[in-house]
Amino acid sequence: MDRSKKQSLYDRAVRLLTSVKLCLVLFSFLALAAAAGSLLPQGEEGSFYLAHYGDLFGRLIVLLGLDRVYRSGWFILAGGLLFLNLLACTVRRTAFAAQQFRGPGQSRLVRFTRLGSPVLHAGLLVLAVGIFLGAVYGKSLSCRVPEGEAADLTPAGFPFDLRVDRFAVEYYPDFQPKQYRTELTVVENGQEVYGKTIAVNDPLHYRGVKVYQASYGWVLEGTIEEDGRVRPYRVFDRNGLTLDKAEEFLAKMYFFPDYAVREDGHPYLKTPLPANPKLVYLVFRGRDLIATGVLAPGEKVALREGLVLNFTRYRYFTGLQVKRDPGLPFVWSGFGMVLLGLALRYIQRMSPGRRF
Amino acid sequence: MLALEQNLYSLAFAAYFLAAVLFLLQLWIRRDALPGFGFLLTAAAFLLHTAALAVRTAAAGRLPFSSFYEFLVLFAWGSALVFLFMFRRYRIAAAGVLILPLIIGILGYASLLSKDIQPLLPALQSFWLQLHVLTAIFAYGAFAVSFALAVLYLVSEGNREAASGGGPGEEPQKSAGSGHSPAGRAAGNQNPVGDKERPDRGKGLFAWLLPAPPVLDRLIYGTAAFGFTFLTLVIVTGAVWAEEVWGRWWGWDPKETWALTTWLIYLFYLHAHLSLGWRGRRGAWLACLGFAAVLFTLIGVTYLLPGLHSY
Ligand code: HEM
Repeated sequence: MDRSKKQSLYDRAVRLLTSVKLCLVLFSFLALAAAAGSLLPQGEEGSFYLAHYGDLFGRLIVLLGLDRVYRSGWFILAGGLLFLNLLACTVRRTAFAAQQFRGPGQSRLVRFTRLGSPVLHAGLLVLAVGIFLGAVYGKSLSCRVPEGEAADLTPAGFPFDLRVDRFAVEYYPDFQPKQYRTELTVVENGQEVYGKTIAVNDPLHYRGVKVYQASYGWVLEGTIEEDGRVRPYRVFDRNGLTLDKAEEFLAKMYFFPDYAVREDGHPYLKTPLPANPKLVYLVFRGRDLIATGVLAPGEKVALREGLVLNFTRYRYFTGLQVKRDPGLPFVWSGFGMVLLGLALRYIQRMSPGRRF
Repeated sequence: MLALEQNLYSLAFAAYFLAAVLFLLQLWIRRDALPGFGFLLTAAAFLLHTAALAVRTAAAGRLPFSSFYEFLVLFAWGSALVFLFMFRRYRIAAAGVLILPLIIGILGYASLLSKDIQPLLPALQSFWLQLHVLTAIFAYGAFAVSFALAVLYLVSEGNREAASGGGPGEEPQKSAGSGHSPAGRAAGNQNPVGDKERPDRGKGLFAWLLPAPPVLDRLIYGTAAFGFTFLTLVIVTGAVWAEEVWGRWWGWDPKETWALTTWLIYLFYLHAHLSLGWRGRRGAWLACLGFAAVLFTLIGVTYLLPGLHSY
């Protein structure tokens, strides 16, 4: 009695898991959820939704997790269910295909192509394993490194450090960017072991880690003299810099590699090349703009009694994306199997002597 | 160069337009020669279209795969190609009634956009991107034809239902394991059911132009499955490219997300068709829904949901 009840429960679970209806429900659900996630802004603060969608809908969006669809429990749950569904179907269909494979068939080719559907479905399982491994064991880090400096990756758990030897931008004749390149040296236990110039679309691969060209910009350096004391500063282009100990004055720093002034007095960039490099600073006290000015490298300015801003040098920084994804081989194999499966199905349909 | 290209487009556009007129005339005038001429004109337009693309390729020194304008022109090209192939093989003249106006609409819309040849941004300089776009042309072209066939099915279906007194084209599916029908074979030769079901040629808007519903249904399925295979390739090549450029093969960028949504809709359609025997009307509606997602991916996402994709 007890046993038969268990049996039937098990049967029912199997029937549910191997049912095509379940996968149709999941496909629709995932399609709707994916679409919703692209239509609603993702990852904002709760107050953002209240402000933009009204009290009721704003609350509902946050409550249902529609503000971060792709990381929400229900989305992942649906994906997990699809995985089980797929697993059950694949096992069943592989058994079926194996039977057919052994059974009386025509040519070897036709028999072989019958594996198309199982290979295709199994490929998705492999893909799912890859996604899982990437999500759990993957690591990624982005950093901005000035030319000539090092990026310490080992503290973040990567097996090596990097040194940025040079960064360069290549332009088309009309100054549209053509390519960004960074010359990198891999340093392992203090030893230089490998070097490569990376570019967009051409990352560095080393010991399972990939390093990408992600962004770039300028770093501005100099000193601040306050009441006789000198301290160095370093700031990224278009960022703010606190000028004094009391944190009363803040300078926003803008770098113009090729500074020029329009007729209406506004500065602009003639070219992106450092032909006439200038630092444009805006000094704020609280919210009030109290001073602006332009400095060339080597120049300095007294912002008030006993407070001097000194601009000494500028250089490129390169933005690197460093990552390790142990799931990747599974992802590519999964994709490969899906494509192979689809191809086999086409060959199957085209093969002679096959009537449906 | 650009002038030559534009002249070729104008000629192609005119030829597509005339072809559309011929196909549309079929609605009122029944001459067996009409679709033949429509086909020839479409083929001529397609050659001019191809020549224009070749000129642009020569002028740019690369394949014309990088702006929204270029992609729309390619989308129209792919639709024409799949249509020509379908016409040669299955003689579905009526599809021209929809596909040609669609091509004209896409080309007309494209003509409003900036046609400048832009230098390739660093992120776009990739072999995988070229495969990505190439496969997208075929996927979207096939979905467009599938959509046209589905609309024809839905429009003409009322008459058929009256004539045959039942769900048109509904066929019980035997076992889920027994393969399924290749669209072509059934369409080409035997189809006893279809002939019996074919209503009086006098009835209905498209009736005399269309094959029997089960045949049409299989053609919708065949083109959708073909498009699906290519959409899978689009997604895979896109993933490889994204991994090389941004270091993530998937990132929920709106374009990616909508490609996935489209893929899931067609996946639903394929499984419902193969395993649950969803034929006829329901399948046709799904093919329409899938194409709506294609258009949204292409146009809606481009304007409404800015992301990393330049188009
Ligand atoms: C993300 C998940 C899935 C994908 C991408 C997928 C993909 C496909 C594709 C492309 C086909 C062949 C269509 C054709 O050749 O025209 C197919 C057929 C089929 N699938 Fe799936 N499938 C998935 C999940 C499932 C699940 C969960 C089940 C079981 C409930 C299932 C059962 C079947 C069956 C029974 C067929 C038709 C028989 C055959 O062609 O062998 N699939 N699937």
